[in-house]
Amino acid sequence: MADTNRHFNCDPIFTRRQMLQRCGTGLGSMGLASLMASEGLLEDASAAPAGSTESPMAPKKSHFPGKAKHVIHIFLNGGASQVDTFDPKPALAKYAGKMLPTQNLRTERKTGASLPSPFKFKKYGESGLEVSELFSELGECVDDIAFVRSMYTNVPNHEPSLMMMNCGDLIQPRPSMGAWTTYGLGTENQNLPGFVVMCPGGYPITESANWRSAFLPGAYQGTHIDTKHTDIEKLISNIKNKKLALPEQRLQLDLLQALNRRHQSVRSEESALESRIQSFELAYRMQMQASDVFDINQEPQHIHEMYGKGVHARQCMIARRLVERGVRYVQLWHGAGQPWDNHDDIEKGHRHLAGQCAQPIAALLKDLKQRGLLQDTIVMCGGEFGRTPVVELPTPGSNAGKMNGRDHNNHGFTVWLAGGGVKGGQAYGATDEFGFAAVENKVHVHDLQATVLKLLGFDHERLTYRYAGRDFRLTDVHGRVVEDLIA
Amino acid sequence: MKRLQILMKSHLVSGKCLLSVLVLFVISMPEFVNAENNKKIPAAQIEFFEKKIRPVLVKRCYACHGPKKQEASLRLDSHAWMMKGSDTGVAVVPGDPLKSRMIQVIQFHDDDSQMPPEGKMPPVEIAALTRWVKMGTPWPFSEKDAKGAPANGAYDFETLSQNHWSFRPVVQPELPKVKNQQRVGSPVDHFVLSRLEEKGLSLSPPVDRRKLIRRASVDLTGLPPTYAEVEAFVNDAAPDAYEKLIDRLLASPHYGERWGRHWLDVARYADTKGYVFTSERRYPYSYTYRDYVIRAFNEDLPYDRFIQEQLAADQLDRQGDDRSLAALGFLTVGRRYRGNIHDITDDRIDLVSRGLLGLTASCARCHDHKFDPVPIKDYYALYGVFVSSYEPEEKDLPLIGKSKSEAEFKVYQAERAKRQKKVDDYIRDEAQKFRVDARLTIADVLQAVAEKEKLVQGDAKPEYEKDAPHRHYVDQWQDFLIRKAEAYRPVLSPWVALKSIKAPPGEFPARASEVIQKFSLQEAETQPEKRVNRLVIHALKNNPPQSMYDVCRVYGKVFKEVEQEWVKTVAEAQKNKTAVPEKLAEFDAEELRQILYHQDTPTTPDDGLVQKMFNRAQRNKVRQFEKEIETLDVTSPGAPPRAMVMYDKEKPVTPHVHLRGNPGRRGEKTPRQFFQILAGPERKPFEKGSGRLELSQAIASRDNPLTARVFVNRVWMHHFGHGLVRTPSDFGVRSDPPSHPELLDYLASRFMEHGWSVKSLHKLIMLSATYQQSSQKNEKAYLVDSDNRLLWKRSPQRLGFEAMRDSLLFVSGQLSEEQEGRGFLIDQVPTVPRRTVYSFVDRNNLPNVFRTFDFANVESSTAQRPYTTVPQQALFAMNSPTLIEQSGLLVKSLDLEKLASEKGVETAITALYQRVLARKPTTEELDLGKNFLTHHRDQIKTPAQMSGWEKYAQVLCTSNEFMFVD
Repeated sequence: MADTNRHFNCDPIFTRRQMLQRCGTGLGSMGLASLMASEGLLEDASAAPAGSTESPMAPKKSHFPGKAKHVIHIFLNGGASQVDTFDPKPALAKYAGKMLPTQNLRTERKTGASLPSPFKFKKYGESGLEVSELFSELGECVDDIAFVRSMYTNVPNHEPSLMMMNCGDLIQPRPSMGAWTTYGLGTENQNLPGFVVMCPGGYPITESANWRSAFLPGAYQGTHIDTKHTDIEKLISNIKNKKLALPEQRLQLDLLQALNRRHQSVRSEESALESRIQSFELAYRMQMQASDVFDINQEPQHIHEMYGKGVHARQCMIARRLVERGVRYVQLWHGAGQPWDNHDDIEKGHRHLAGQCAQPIAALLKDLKQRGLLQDTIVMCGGEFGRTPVVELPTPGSNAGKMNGRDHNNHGFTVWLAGGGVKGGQAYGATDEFGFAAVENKVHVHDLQATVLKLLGFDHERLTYRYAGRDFRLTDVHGRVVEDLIA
Repeated sequence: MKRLQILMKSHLVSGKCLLSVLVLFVISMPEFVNAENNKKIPAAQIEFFEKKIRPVLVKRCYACHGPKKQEASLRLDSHAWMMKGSDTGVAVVPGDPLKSRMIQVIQFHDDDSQMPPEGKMPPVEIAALTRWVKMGTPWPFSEKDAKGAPANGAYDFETLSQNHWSFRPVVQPELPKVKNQQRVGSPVDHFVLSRLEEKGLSLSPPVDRRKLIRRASVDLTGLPPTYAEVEAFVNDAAPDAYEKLIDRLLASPHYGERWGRHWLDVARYADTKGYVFTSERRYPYSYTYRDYVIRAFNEDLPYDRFIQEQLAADQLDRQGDDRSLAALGFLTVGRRYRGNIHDITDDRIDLVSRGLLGLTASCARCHDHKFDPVPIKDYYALYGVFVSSYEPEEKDLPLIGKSKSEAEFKVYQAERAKRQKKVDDYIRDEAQKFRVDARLTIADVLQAVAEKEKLVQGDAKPEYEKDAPHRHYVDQWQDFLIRKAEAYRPVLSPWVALKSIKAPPGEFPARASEVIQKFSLQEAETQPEKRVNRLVIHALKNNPPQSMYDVCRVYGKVFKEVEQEWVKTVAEAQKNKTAVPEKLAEFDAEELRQILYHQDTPTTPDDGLVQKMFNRAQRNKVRQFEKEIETLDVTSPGAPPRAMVMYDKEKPVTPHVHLRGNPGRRGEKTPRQFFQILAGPERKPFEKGSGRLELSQAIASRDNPLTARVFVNRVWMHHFGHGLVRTPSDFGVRSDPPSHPELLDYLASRFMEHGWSVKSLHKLIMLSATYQQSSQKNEKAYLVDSDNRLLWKRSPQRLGFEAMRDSLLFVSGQLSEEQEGRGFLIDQVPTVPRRTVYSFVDRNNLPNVFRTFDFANVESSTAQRPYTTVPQQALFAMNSPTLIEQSGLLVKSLDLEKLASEKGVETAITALYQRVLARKPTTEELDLGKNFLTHHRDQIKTPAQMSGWEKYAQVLCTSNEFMFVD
């Protein structure tokens, strides 16, 4: 490792004892225990070194018992408009086509008159929270949701804002929240990656930097999956041997392990050898589990109907299956590039985009809830920033002539949270009368991150990693836990 | 000066070793905080402070000015910190409450800052604080006070440079006495054995020769020995057989490929700029730096020279060989942070300080380093060095060699010229269009000027014929109208007069009419100072303006008509093939035409100026064309190698400190110079240009206590798996102290004495018994030192990613000898059989396989890679197309099927073992192999896609024996 630190241990993978403990816990691993016994792998248990040779992904204890165990982060990349989705602003209609009485705040491009939302809002649930027709499907879930309507971030540009939302810094290469989470908690299922990122069609803007591990070990990097594909081999690299069927590969593996045991017998005190031997067993099982988890054909008809059709339905279904199997952190991107970035034709654009994801997202919440998974899974949904309540003026050479879209807006936007100990049925904080800037109970991205870490059982100031002479953390020197969001 | 001793805990986190080593160091503190001084503070004042002041400070101030947060850099949890003041200056003047900022702001005056922000404090608290300041701020020493010094540059450099192990000068220590003289193979062993003997331990027995040659080969070249080499070495009875082996390996070109890669980790080498939006993300010439590094190691370039070349090759005597210019890639191959110079420079400061000195200076970007003696001023001293240097554009980078083929070079040159022309033509054409348009749309720009100058009251809006003119262009017109009002008086005087009308909107038409009327009377004037342009005044008379916008449009119309007439005149002349007239016949029209065509008017901007005013679409177009050129440089086989250099700017910059790292908040000026802690009290500012050369000399100096120590520790680390210091890029006060400090100093001084020769250093280490020992189970040693810090054994080392992949290609018979040149893509099948060090490293989207196998962090300097064991690594071994492919090629290259059928299975298995593991199989292993092959033949019913031999070969190539080096 580059520099030492407290949380991560240099030496790899489990001890045999831990391994066996884990085998007792999951159905999938029971087979292994007998398998290992049958192969004589358990004979010389005394050979296992004492001490802390842990996998970087082995489950770890948080600072205090967390309410949440998993996170599903749905990223509406490009920046969804708050006033068209979750933050109703009827006052805009009064000024339709006219300049607002307040000065337009500075954003990326020039903006003009008030642009009232073309979408109708309606109250839902016992909490009576308003959601626009774009996300009417979420209506049934509002009592589980906390809409943070007072989000703000530093700048109105995609790249730095994506970095801020994911990695807590505008520019410097820092680890992503998923990487910090798996670094802190490990993951519950060693047969699957601990941090899975799904994005149909390729990469969002700033690409894999969004889920990077930066200076944390590479094991904490998100595993990117292009959900445009349905073929398992295209989803996870090397997950299948294209030439060998599993039983044939098992025989090959048996020979390998027999040779490895012979090699190890005269080097019994070297834990690194044992770790590598075990990693092959894990890998062997991972092949089956990974294929299984991505196979949504196993879901019954009524579940398919609940989620709907299309790639977002598939992503959301897979997300649930991953969390169900103990995967720690799942991130779902709306698509490659920046689909929600509707500088013009926002009515058409947002309607189309919400049409793709609203039903699946609502289904995901309901499905998690009916399975009892929502209580320890945080579902978080939002973009890297919001959009202006006023129209973007045409710029020569870009949205030429069109005046029906909104510019980026870092001053105020909405991110919503549900499950995992979040106090639902509330709108937290508020933007001004027109939805331009957060004014009441403002929540910076750092604060959101501090709060999510708290839900996961971490004091964000103590989840640190020593690198380059400094103890780094996700929230840098910022962040304040928003206690009101926690049930 | 009195001193306060502070105990600091340094965390040792290796394994489960929970030793806390207490590092004593000493920091200067103002006199009155010393515990002893409590005696000097009257008891009544101590009580007053503890009862009335400390609780108030804790309650009212600490949340923002305490240990966790220091708003405006102010900290109030110790007297020393309080006296340091804030970003804006002194916070408290002892004895003078009126001058004390702290007392001022708690008054809660409306026109001043109000502290604490939550609300005014009760009068009794304000009174207490005021009284306390008046008393002279007596602050009795307490354990509750903040630890650590207020680092306003007031580190005690002298004491630190004497007391902290890594800041002390390197002195070659005496060799310690050793009981077991027989085990001493090189001076290194004195240091290791004496420590072991203190604990009643010794080294493990020497490793056997088969293992030794593999260890030495992999360590030095990243490749295993062949079976023949092993046999030859095992049977070489010469006493110097091992030394000869080391010499042979050090002379191999594969040595540089192995050790160059270690250095590339330190240099955070990658072939891309990080995330970019539209431009070419690949560096066209980063590979020349990688090749330089490999060559430097192979040629055993002295390490001090190696450093100097990487920081200042442009300023060194290169004796006619410019290839070393590529060394500057060290500074320039980092992430580009989308062009942010402060971040780019920060990356370079971090690289130089951590990578070369083991000093974590980048903490001082925002504030004085909290632990190490690096004041913020020292950070910006280095910042000044780098911002006083610049990088030429890619096309102007110096050539350092030729294309491999002259023909390809010609193709490249022609294509490049073609692509360059496309950019130039586009810019020229767009500029021409701009000028043509500009002459026809004067109305637009004048309206924009009127809008900018707010010449129109009321609701009237500009009515543009085209897009709103560019801000820059409007500025030029605004300037022109003022600057040239006199020169073009006949045309512009009505404009000046009309814009000066100060009247409510409703009255403008009438007042304007008066002004126009007055000018009309001058129409016939011929005196230059009274004459007005007839066309202008007629137009104004015929179109009475309602607002200044109308005036603008009238002017625009007049100009437009003149321009149209001129265009027509020229066209007719060309059509009739007569001479193009020099001017318009009519005097007043010609006067207007002069404004449109004269070189000092805004309508005739040059191409460069127009380009600055390009709109988004035009800029994108230029970028797209420029990217085509960059892409050619990155991909064309004919592009000759260039060095990614830096040069000194003509005028070096004397930087300011950026308060809190914010470039918008300038603090003190600081000269370009070296770190105080290393330069000593005699420090002088750099004098030559940017100071890069002087910086490089200060680092590559025998007097620098860090440079050699840091480097020898890293070499040791790569030979043993761990360094003597386990924080290889942090030798500061929070570092892991060396397990063998004297050995570290011995190696460092010997290294410098031997001309900074890296190859000599390898020999010194590898000839030791410590290096040549085996890994033997030893209960006693394990109890005493489970972490093996005393070096009683040498544990097996797992192959790193490069060594694993290269070894695989080596045993499959595929490994290519091709060196140098552009990177190949690692994740392609069929595999490019070049050594892994030559693969292309995409910083932003690092191929999975790199990450899976613990590749170095490409964002910043990495001395030691992480070490993880994850199932994805095993999946690669079991399933990757690479493994399947190479296993097949291995079987084919030995022709095992044929060998087995002609000479028997055992012969074939033996051949396979010799190739992959460089040894013969044991009887049991033969049996295991035979069983596996038989089983394959008997049991596999479905048509087999991999032959038994292929599967068997894959097993050997992924076995622990293959993956670990004893």
